[in-house]
Amino acid sequence: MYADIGGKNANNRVGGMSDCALFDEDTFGTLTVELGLESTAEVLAAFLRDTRAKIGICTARTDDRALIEREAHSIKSSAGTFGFIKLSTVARNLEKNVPNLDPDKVEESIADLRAAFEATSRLAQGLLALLEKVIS
Amino acid sequence: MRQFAPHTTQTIGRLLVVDDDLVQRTIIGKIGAKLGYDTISASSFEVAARLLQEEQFDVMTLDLSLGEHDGVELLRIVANRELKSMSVVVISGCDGRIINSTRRVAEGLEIPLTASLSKPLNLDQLRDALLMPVKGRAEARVAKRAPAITRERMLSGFEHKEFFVEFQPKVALASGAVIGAEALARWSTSEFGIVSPVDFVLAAEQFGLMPELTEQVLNSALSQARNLIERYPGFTVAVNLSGSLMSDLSLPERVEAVLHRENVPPQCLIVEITETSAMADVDRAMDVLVRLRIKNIGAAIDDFGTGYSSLSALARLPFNELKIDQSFVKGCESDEDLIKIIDGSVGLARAFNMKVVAEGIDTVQTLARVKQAGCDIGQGYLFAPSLRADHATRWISRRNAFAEYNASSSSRSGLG
Repeated sequence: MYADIGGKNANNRVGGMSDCALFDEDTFGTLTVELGLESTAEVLAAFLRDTRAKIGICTARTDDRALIEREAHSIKSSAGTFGFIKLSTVARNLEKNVPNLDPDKVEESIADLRAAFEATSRLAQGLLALLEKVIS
Repeated sequence: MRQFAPHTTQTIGRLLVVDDDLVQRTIIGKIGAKLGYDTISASSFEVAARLLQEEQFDVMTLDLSLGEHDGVELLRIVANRELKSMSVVVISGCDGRIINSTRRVAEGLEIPLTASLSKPLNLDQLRDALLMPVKGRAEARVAKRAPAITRERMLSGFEHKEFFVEFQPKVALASGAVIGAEALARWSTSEFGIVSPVDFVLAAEQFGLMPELTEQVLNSALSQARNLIERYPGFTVAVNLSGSLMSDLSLPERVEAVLHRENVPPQCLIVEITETSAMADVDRAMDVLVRLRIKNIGAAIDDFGTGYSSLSALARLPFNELKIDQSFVKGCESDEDLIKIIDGSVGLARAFNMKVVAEGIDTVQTLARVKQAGCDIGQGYLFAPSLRADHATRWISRRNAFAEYNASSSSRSGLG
């Protein structure tokens, strides 16, 4: 159902990041069944806003490892709930590694997280459009 | 704080969702509302603590990571407020060991933990966890209250042979054959129905009727298991002995008398004594156990790991079987801490030349893990629950025929 959403990016590998699929449509499908289409659209939109804000905080506070660890932990879990595997994996790696990274590597890792999020966001916008179309 | 109205006409209870993550608490809140909960979400430790002080909830889902705070602090508030009727579902993105340890903290605080779920959330598991307390409350409503048992009523029960046993098979993990059974006392009455063993054992202790109850159970177990003992060489029947009997120095003779009367060889009986009662008075327990063992009766230390054993006392007591408590066995395949306890127990048993029984084997995964740990014998729902004598006989007969067929097939194919 969702295979064509996000166009060519849907399940491509994202360069420079771990080797896994971007999206698991079964997980997303389960969410739509459990929540219903309208609620799924609502929480997906909230996820995109919330995650963008969290990444913004991480980018502005690269010296606060504990904060980055907490935000990465949160993104890891939320992204996983929607089936956004790539974003969840990158966030998990950041959460795990951030206490021991060199300062410049922290910035690089946050850039990786942002790249994974942008790819996910493009896919998610397609999902939102589809959900809104079906709802209306 | 956000409120989610239930999607059903009748609410099934009040749900508090505690999670500092907007997306997670919205998803959990919406699923709770869809199931019929009147749902409130709290985005911080402080909001949750205030709600718990001011309002009543039936269920709380609790994220362990709450920014600067953690969920364990909230569990302590739940314990301090004695909110024991509220079910708690712990949710966390932390690793499994932390979730397992949190489960133990909750047990220590006597908080009813319905489930512990890891993130990313499996929505089927979440729904089941949220519905479990509803089922539990419904069952509690229909559960009968403990009957008012009197001493006279118990004596009448003895006289009219209302006490009987059910057998839970014990399976040799190497061969799959049934090599014994634990006899579990039951009481069937006309006015109360089946009385819970918890109630009648407690009553027997209070009325000083434990010797009579034990004798009834021994008689019933040995007479009903005699055909199994005759049919399967080495078959043993295990009977639980109350701790209060361990100070009765005439116990070995009385047990021996029952064996004579029922014409059962002593080596076919194992008496099970809990770790706590064996350790209560080690000298007396040793006196009784040594004489039972001299008479060739087996002795098992039951619920091992739940009490506080002194290793030197354990070394002095002549047990020949160690039963690892089911609380260490259930779910051991996914809990490294539990496996360490099982490994340690197996090592201890080997050092003292004891057989090891793993109780509470409910899944094939648990079975595989306890086999790998070196346990000799297994008991649990994966094999069979406790069964009435005739049903147990048929079940054991079928199981052992199958085990024998497997053994002969393996030996014919050169694998045995």
